[in-house]
Amino acid sequence: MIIVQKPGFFSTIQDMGRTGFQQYGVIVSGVMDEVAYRIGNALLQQCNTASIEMTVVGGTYQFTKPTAIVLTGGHVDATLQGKQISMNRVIHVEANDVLVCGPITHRVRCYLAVRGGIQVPIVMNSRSTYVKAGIGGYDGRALQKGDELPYEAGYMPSGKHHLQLAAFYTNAPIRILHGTEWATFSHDVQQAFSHNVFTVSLEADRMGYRMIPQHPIQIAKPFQLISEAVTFGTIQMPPNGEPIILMADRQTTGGYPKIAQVIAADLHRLAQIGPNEKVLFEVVSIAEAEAAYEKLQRQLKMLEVVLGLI
Amino acid sequence: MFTHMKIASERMIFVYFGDEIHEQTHENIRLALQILADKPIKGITEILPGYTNICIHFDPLQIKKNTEEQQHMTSADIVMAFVQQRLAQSGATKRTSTRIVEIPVVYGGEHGPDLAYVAQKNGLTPEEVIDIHTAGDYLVYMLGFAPGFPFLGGLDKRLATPRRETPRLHIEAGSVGIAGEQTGVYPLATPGGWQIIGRTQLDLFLPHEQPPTLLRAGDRVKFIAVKEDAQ
Repeated sequence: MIIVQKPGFFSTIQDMGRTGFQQYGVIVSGVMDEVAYRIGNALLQQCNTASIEMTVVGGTYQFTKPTAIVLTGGHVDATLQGKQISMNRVIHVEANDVLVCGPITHRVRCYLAVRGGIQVPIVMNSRSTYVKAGIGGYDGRALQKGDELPYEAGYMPSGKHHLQLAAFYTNAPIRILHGTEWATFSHDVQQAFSHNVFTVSLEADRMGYRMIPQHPIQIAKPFQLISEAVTFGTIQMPPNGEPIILMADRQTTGGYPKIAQVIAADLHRLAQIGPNEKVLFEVVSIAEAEAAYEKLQRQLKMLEVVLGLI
Repeated sequence: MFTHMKIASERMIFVYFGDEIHEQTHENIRLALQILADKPIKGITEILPGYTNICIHFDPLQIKKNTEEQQHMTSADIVMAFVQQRLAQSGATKRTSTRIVEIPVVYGGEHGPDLAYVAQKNGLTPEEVIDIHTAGDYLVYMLGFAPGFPFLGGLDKRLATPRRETPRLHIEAGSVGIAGEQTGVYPLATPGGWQIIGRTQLDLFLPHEQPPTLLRAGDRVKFIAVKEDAQ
């Protein structure tokens, strides 16, 4: 078992999510930062096994059996048995070792991958936590002190090197596509949206980020839609002119017009941007979005294959 | 059959069958779903029925892998061409049977705190509200908003009531409500602004069953008034 001694600010068990059930109104959930999650697993020579997603503050975890772990994503100062450990590197863990993860000092989400994955029950093809429905993860909720998370004993020696992942997390603008209702917005709104700098508000969680524009966006003629499907990265524009970007725990449908869509290849970078940080958008074409997606997926696949062979 | 398509992202398109919520539009959507499910192409990951459209999710890597001769096209274009071609040859029109799902509801009292308000607002007695609500024949257009939550069509306009000005912080799972010209059932306990007229004991979300919901798009719902101990 992994005994949760301190749960951190908001830690949940996540994997790649619950696909195939949106037609029933069941959200996808899953990790916010797919890149960090996949690399954590790849270092442990495994694929899509449930990890702990920690937000803002890590937490303290005791392992009752030997295993190996990797910390990826947002930077956290972590110690194992009081000894500092590095990120993005396989760390061998002995029975009863205590891992202490402090505040996440750079970016906002850190992943704790465990050899073999965290073996909570699978609900609808996934171990991801869906807090609102109370399913998946540990008891369908965020981790609490005293929770005992099952895993299989395993062994992997500590890695000699840690991976450098900075190339996946540049500070380039977040690339977007025009949304399905882009053309329905007035020229003024289009311009105000395009030439703006946005700040992530304090209302930014796994469901979505409310964004505050530096120059207010006036929606002279607000309109609503018949509710229809939305997805990860959909940017809705409510009548108050403060866009909402839908994230991993988004509802399956929404009625606000969609002014833009974050491209798939930049979702992991957006997921690591926290409240009060600034975001710039850059519009790209579908072909560019697809090329960026293919490139990122190829890089991840390559890392999975190469790390699996070492 | 469909009116137009929209690219939502490099991994998702919409196929539209009309602009308004209409039973004929819904029929076309059901038929299209059947045709598309018949011989799907590899790489389409989810197909979701909506009020006026179908949303198709796909994985560009898979789509490209299966259509090597079309490398100059984006995956979204390839999927749209596929949909166009499949729906054009829509020969098979075998009608799937419609399920009728009865939902027993205890109206009024602590289970339906807004029944009196809905009645008063519409110049009816609470009994008349119950009679009109149970006489209705409701079509499940789609599920969304919460797991198992049905977007129902068919509310009698005499019962239309605006949402509460102050939403309740807690609405019990199974609550049956009215919001504007919509009626629905809350699958989970949530905050919400609907006018609550009753409650059912049935679970709408069944996470350990397949499919995981009591209702599915295309079902017809009948509400049945029951006494509290009869449930």
